[in-house]
Amino acid sequence: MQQAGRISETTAFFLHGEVVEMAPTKDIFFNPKDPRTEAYISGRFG
Amino acid sequence: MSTTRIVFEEAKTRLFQEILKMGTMAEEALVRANVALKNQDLDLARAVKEDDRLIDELQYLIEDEAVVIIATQQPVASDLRVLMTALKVTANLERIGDFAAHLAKLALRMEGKPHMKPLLGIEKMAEIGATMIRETVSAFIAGDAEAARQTAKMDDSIDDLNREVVQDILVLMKEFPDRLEQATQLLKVATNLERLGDHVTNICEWIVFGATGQHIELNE
Repeated sequence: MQQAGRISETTAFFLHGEVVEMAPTKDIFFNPKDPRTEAYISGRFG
Repeated sequence: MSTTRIVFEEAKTRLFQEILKMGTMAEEALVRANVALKNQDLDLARAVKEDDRLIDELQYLIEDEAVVIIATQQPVASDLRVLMTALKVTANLERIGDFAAHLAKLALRMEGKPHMKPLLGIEKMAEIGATMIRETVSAFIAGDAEAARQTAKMDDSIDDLNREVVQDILVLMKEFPDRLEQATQLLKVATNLERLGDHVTNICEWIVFGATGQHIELNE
């Protein structure tokens, strides 16, 4: 996941086949809008 | 909870406890400096000045801990924003501690001579400042942006009192031209307290940032 943060411009988070959130990588990793994105990238579930 | 989260949460809790301790020390330094000024207690003033290094040492400890968390846990999103906020809160608390120590130095420079007039406005400014420090550290620990906004509003009262105090001192300067030295020290005291309020406001702005990701200016 950290590698995605380092090299991409845009990041999408998929959960159970659904796009939860897609945004510039800096927004996804610094201030995601959906709490499920936040929970996933900060290791609350894997 | 995953093992990674447990390790991160434990490290964050330790960091918050240290910041709470630092906030308490800064608040106490201000309260003690205020008493030293009011009572012209030179021993107390010396103690406040000396104890400032304990606040500085705690700042280094907290900053080192925060950097280790960033390096080893690689936090993102709100975790990262909270750590950024923690570093900013710590830097501002250190500066607040410096202001309290400076107030103690000003008390020492007044050499225990009786005040021209009771320092009611200045005492009130320091009391509001101490309350602001306490409230802002609580808001940080709770990640409460609304409490931070409310706390920042108290800075208006410090600014209003500062204007009144400066006016009072200017009158005293005309009334007692032979005591300009003390009047000048009192002006510096008021300016210090006014700047202290600005630093608490800075902390409030960072708390809002930590909670929302948005940079804002409070009390423009």
